[in-house]
Amino acid sequence: MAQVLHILAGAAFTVLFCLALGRLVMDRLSLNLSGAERLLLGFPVGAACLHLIVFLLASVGQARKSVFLGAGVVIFAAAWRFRRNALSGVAVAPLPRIWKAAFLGLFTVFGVVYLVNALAPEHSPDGVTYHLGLVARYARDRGFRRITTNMYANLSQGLEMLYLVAFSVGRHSAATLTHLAFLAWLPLAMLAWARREGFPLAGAAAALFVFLSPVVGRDGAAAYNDVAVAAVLFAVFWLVELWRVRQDDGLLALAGLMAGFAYAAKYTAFLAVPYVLGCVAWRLRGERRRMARAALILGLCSLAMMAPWLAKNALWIGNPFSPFLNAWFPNPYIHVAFEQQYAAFMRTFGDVKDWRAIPFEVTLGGQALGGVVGPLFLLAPVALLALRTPAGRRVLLAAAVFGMVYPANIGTRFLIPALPFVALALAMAVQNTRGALGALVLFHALLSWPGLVSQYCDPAAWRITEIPLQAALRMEPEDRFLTRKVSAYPIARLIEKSVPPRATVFAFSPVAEAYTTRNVPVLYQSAWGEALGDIFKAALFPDLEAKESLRFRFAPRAARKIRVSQTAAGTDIWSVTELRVFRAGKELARGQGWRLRARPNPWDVQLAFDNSPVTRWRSWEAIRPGMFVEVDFGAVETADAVFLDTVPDQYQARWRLEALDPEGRWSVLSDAPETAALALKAGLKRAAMQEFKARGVGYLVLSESDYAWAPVAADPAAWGLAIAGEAGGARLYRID
Amino acid sequence: MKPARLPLPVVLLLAAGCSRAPDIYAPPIERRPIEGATPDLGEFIQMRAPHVSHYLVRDVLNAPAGQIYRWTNQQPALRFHPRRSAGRRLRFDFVIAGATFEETGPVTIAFQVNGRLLDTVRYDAPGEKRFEKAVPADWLDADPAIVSAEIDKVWVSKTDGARLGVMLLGAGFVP
Repeated sequence: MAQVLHILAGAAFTVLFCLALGRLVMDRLSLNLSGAERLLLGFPVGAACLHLIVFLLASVGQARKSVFLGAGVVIFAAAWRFRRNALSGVAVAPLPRIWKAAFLGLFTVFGVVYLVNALAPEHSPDGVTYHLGLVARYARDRGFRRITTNMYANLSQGLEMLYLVAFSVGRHSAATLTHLAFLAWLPLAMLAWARREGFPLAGAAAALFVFLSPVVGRDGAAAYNDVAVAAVLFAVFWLVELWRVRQDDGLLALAGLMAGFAYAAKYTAFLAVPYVLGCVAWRLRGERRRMARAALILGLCSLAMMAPWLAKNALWIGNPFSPFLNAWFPNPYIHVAFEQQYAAFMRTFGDVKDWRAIPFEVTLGGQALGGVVGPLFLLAPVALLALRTPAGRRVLLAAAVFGMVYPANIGTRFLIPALPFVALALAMAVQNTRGALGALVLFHALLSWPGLVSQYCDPAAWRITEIPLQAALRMEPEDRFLTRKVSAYPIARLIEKSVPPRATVFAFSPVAEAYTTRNVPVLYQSAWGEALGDIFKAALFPDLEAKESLRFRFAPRAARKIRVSQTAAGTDIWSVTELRVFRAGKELARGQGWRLRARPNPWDVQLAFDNSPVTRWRSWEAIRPGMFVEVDFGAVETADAVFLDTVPDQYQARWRLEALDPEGRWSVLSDAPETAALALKAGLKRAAMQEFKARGVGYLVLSESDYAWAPVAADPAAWGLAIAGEAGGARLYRID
Repeated sequence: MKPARLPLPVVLLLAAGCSRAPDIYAPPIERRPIEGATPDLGEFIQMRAPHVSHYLVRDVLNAPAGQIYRWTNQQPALRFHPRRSAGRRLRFDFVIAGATFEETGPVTIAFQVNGRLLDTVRYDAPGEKRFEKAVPADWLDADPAIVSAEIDKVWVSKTDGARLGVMLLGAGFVP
């Protein structure tokens, strides 16, 4: 029970910290808001400000419990000291008693289900891998360290900053409960806004449409961030609505802060910034000076929230928008080819290539896209009827803007940010049809109850499947609960027990990083990991062995530099396993005066000169003319042949050899290399593992579903591997 | 791999001195070859053989283990270790599929050894084929020897653009 109290204390402290900070900021801005508005808006505003404070503390290595507690006390005291009275006499439309009872009843019943799930040990797929995996890492390190082997560390992590506060007190479940607080906030805020607009029934119904939605409940009761992002975007909308009426610069500043925080919480919510700017520009059209002032306030406030994340990535990764836009900001940490594949996957999830399948999948199916919003949302097109009213048009505009990025990632949970607005518009559209709202709420509540969801959705759909009260109260030990719920948990614990603290374990699939203190980079999560994967494949698959020798022969030529260029365009990735220069049949020794260069991916050029049969320089981008690998001899050298060892997986490649003569002129030596076969090499598997060791990897973890599982399991000794343990369908190998 | 332990503000202060990762490099320390038994290449390989992948250089597609044929693309190439250079004949056993022939019509295949054209043959009908011809001894001076075939017309899938040449059954050198 002491653990449960710690968890609750961690979450409560974080939420109260947000509330106090938000209240303080709003009081200092002297905003004329009602008590309900101040209480409700105080939470997301405070969350935005707290995220910034935690970011700064994490940047100076002071992100720890005692500092958070001290800061909290100061903020609580300041909020009390500078408190102001709320605006009184603000008229809001009352909610009929039966609706009040229905709202409170459903909110409470579903809320308890969500609370129990959130209180249970965190067991969501992304929560246990990267959301809390990174938070746990920051907690151990008391802040940020430069991480170049995990692309998720490059995403904006506004919510994770709040989770870090909760985690420092109550560990994993406290962080999850912090997300749950946003889930509880969202329907209350929707109702409050709708009551001020004069349609309380539609507001209550819409709030329940969102709150009861299966994917919203599942997501909000996990250490994800989608529901919090939806809450932040609703706060942005609400503040813009308030500003529209009151034209207060303070509200504008808060709207800017919240829009920036939306970006800080999740990249896909960046649209909050143009949304706010667009709304304000429309309202102030024709008033150039006021518009310029408003744009300045919005720009500065939103930048205050976004800049830390942009700067962190710019300085540490060389790409402010990492892990995206790598073609615009080339860097050694994320490959352009990976980003393209990743983005392409997110557009279809591999299976959903026809957009007409999406409505069924996100409302009733749930397997391919990860959960369902509920069959009610098949009525979403009816929401367009809300266009008849000004409020409906404003709500639908927000839905359209915040839903605009959905095609880039068609997972069901990526609908959540737009869902409150779709729900409001839907409820507003039918509010004048007698009994319709009540019937829809009842229908939605029934079909959203966890036991009934299982009756119509795919068994694999991501959803709440139980009410784990025993686990929530820690009457069922965490270890037992997590072992049965999280397939990647047992191997994480095995790693914790079997691997020395500073060792690196390379994983082909994610493990539950939130439950181990060891460094476990995953193959697909960085350029570094992909390069190791390529090395592994070169040893595993004969088809990816360097078998072909391309031989450029030419009359002896004095040159300062030679360059192998690409002249073709296509989809293949270009690579050079080894580049050798010859004179009179003898290979020139690679002198220390030589300088090597490549375009693109200059950072891996040494891999084409390391004499290793399992490493290669790769373009990691689709081939295009102008790519090259270049050797600067540092002096004039005479050569008569250049041989390239290559892997025959680049059929579209066309090669050209050029030389820079002593007078500084480039000329083409040959664009028709002979092809010869390379002899079979011995010990490729051991060579691969030596490369792993050279990169600091001491262990390898493979799951039964990994392509490498069977070949390694068949003969670990051939790889120089020894089994260090096995758990949960995964095996830990030590590289000897 | 080891992360730097610099607080972000310090990094910010040093930003003026920061530069992106270098893009010009000196040659690295070269790896030594790993000692061990080299898998041996033979003179001839059937596509159903367990270690067929060691022989394939390019343009021969993957197939389930034990399958008697593999589809080729336009320029399949394989490598071999001829036991001797004199008295060797190049052999290609393959099938021109009726389904692809319907679209391509007669195909002409140029057979090469170590980049030298041994012969060019036109095939006017689908079915199982064998190409066999003596190889001049001085053409087998490289080890491994690379043999290749260039097919003038291939079948191209209208759905995914896949290109199919012939169904290769076996290839290599025979006495």
